[in-house]
Order: sequence, then C-alpha cells, then structure tokens
Amino acid sequence: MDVLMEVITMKKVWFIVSIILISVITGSIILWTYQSDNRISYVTQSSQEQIVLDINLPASPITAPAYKVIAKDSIFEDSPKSMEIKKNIPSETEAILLAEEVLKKYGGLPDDAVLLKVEQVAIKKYNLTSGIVEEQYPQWTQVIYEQNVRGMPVIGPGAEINIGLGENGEALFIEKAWRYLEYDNEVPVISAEQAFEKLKHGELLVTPQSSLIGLHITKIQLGYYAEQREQDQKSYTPVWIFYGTHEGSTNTQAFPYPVNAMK
Amino acid sequence: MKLRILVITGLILVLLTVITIPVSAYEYSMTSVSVYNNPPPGSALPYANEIHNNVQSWLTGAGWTQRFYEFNPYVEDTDFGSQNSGYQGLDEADLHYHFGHGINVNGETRVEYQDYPNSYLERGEVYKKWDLTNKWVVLDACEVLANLQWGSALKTSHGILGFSTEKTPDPNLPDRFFRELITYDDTIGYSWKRATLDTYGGSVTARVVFDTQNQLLYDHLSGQGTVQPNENPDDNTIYYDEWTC
Repeated sequence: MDVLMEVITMKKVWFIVSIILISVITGSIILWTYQSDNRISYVTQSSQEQIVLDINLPASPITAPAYKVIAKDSIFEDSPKSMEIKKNIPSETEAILLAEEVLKKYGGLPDDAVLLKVEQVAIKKYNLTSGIVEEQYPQWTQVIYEQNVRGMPVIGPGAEINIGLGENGEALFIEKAWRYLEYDNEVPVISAEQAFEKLKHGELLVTPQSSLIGLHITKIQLGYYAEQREQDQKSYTPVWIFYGTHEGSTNTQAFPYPVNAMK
Repeated sequence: MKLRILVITGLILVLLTVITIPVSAYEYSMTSVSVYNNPPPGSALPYANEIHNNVQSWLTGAGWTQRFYEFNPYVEDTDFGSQNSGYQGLDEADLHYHFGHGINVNGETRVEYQDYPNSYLERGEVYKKWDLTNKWVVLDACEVLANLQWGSALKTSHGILGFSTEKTPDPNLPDRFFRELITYDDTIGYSWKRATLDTYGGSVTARVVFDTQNQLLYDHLSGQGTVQPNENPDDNTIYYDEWTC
C-alpha cells in the first residue's frame, strides 16, 4: 500500500514538474517571438534610413502630362549569326548612320527617340590572375535609342530601339519596342519627397533584384514607365525615377527605380 | 502452376514498366530566395513560383529530372557546391538555376541569402569548385557577374550566365531562354543573349562567363546538340561576353 502511495506521489511530482517545464518553454518561445518581432521592426526602420540621397530633392510640379498610346511597334528579330566572330564591325560613328538606314525598313527613327548608347561588342579573353583582357573577338556594334517625351525619359523594357550591326553594316538583330503617344491631360502628381518616402518603403513599380540597403540616389526625374512590348499598355502616366547605385558598387551606370507619381 | 504464371506475369509487368518509363539522362537543380528578413518591404521578390515552374516545365518536358530545389531559408553555401566531399550541391546536376537578390559591395559581388547581410555566397566559397556533372550555372540575380573572378569557380563546369547590372524579376526570362535552347536547339550563349535582349531594356547589362571560347560559342543544352569538351588543362583564363539589353 505504501509503495503504491509512493508511486502516485512520484507521478504527481513529475506531473507538476512537467507542467512547470512546459510553461517555461512556452513562455520563452512567446517572449522570443515578441522580441524577434521587435527586432525585425527595428531593422526595417534602420534599413529604410540606409537609402541615401546624394542630391537635393528636385522642385515638384503640381501636375504632369499623361499620354494615350495610339500605336505601337513591336519588332524583335535576331539570328544566331550575331554570336559569330567577325573580321570587322562598324565603328561607333559609322554605326549611327547605318542604324538609321536599317530603321527605314522598320518605320524609321521616331521623333521622340534619343541616342542612348553606341558600343562595340566583343568576346573578351580575360586572365583571372592578372585581371587583364588579353584578346578581343568582335561580334557586333550595338546602337540603342531610348524614348524621351518632351524632356521626360521613358524607362522600362517597352521603350527601346536596339540594333546590332555586323560586317559591312549587316543588321544582325533589331528590337523595336515603341509606343506612339498623344497628349491626353494633366494629372496631379505627388512631390519628390513623398515619392522618396514610397521608395524607402519599397513601393516601387517594379522590384529590383538587389537589396535597397546602401542605395545612393544620384538623380531624380519625372518620367514614364513602359511595360514589356507584348503588354497592351493604354497610357503613359507620370512616375518619379530615382537613379541610384549601391554604395561601393563598381557599376558606374545608375539604375532607374520607378515610383508611381500619380496622386 | 498458377503461382508460376502469376510470377511470370508480374515480372513481365515490371519489365514493361521499366522499359516504358522515359530515361532521364540529365538533371537540373534550382535555388530560389524570394523572401528576405531585412527589408524595406519591397525587397521581397515576386514570381519565384512562376520562375521555378517555367524552369521545371521546360526541362522536365525535355526529359530532365530535378535533382533538388531549395528555397528561402533552406538555401545555403553547400547548395552551390562549396564542399569538395559529401553533398556537392549544384555540382551534382548538369544545370543549376538560381533566382534571388545579388549585390555589389566594393566590387565584391554576392548572392544574398534570406538573412542577408548576415549570410550570403561570395566567390571565395566556390573557388575552383564547380565540377563533377555540372556544366552551366544561371545566376538570375543583380550584379553578381560584375565581378569576373566568379569565373574562377569553373573547375570543369563550362559557363555562368547572369548580369553585371541591376535587374528585375521576370518569369519570361527562363521561359524564353529554355524555348531557344529546347525548341530551336540554339546554343547556350546565344539563347541567353536572345532571352535577355527580349526581356529587358537598356538599363540592364547581361553577361556570360565561360571557361573556353568554344564553350561560349558552341555549347548546346545537353540532349539538344553538341557540348564542347571541358577545359584541360586549366589555363586560368575565361572568355566573357556582355551586351546592353
């Protein structure tokens, strides 16, 4: 009988100990989760401050023009021949004239096209020890135009003419993604300051594939965003474009981060 | 007698099943990080599922099998073949596709993991380590190939396809890339060029890094055309190509 009582008492003790242990563990988990939540909010706050303005915010208009899309060129032609190594490719000066000639077959150079870049493309043999390009094998000369509507740039994949030229000015590839516009009306826009707040909260029209931590903004401008050429985009409405590079990045070309400017 | 008939019938059925199952000669692997602990909130990436589905759909359709798919908190160095023994990560599959954030810090570029900046992949972790079955690694992330020293990872692997600038997520990219490779049997280098030109605008620069010039010019996806030999001996040079999209 005494032995039975002892066993029952032991069971009670173990039951109580188990309850205490479970309570301690559950409490710790709740406390840890609570602290984690707080820690995440703290990091969020601090990381938002890590987007740095290297310039002053520009003066902000109350309204900006919106445009209707009235027509579209959607051309993409490319050939594996473009990858082949060529004996010669056009110089950058020659390439601009040749590109305009090529474009005649594709509706010509639009009035709102602005030359963005001309460059000779080559396969490069690179020595990993010395860090030197030892040899180059020419492939094509690339001529790229972007759209600029009355001083306001259009960014995105759907506003570009990109032509690759090979030997004797042969067109190796052409991409013409262009929407023709007609003025619609003036629309109210948020200030650059409000747009910067949106940027800090990650409210972008398109998400970049890099963290925004350490981003330095070097230029801010009102413009437009053109969707992929297959998209049936009906209008161009204003966006604030924040051009930036990451702190310490070796990329000299600032990348555009678009924020919807519509009020 | 009945038992014998049953056993024979069973064996025939097993044999028929084995014969009719398509032999998957090639394998791919994938890693994807779309959720990040350290925001701003916009740093979470859209389209991770679509991108995985596109890669999977094209490759399984061509008879490939998925070796592994790790995502978000489960992505770590070992998936990128950082070990020389045991689990070899991407080394164990012909092609690896990674989707996520990349960043350039003072010229050193990193593949960001979920708890970046606490953990990330840098080139030193995979120096001369991409070998075994692997031939190609796609880094669908910002800026990683801005540093050409990633080419040092190519021990016997052939090439790395990626970007030297910022970019944005787009499921059209793998869709167009694998369409070129599988439907049109185009080369790896050209398919990447065509897919990136078609998908992005002039603010994005795509780059490929290969161990030999012939691999850059003539490698096809395994099963879709010729694949050039591995580099031998290792001459510590790479061939790269880049273009504005």
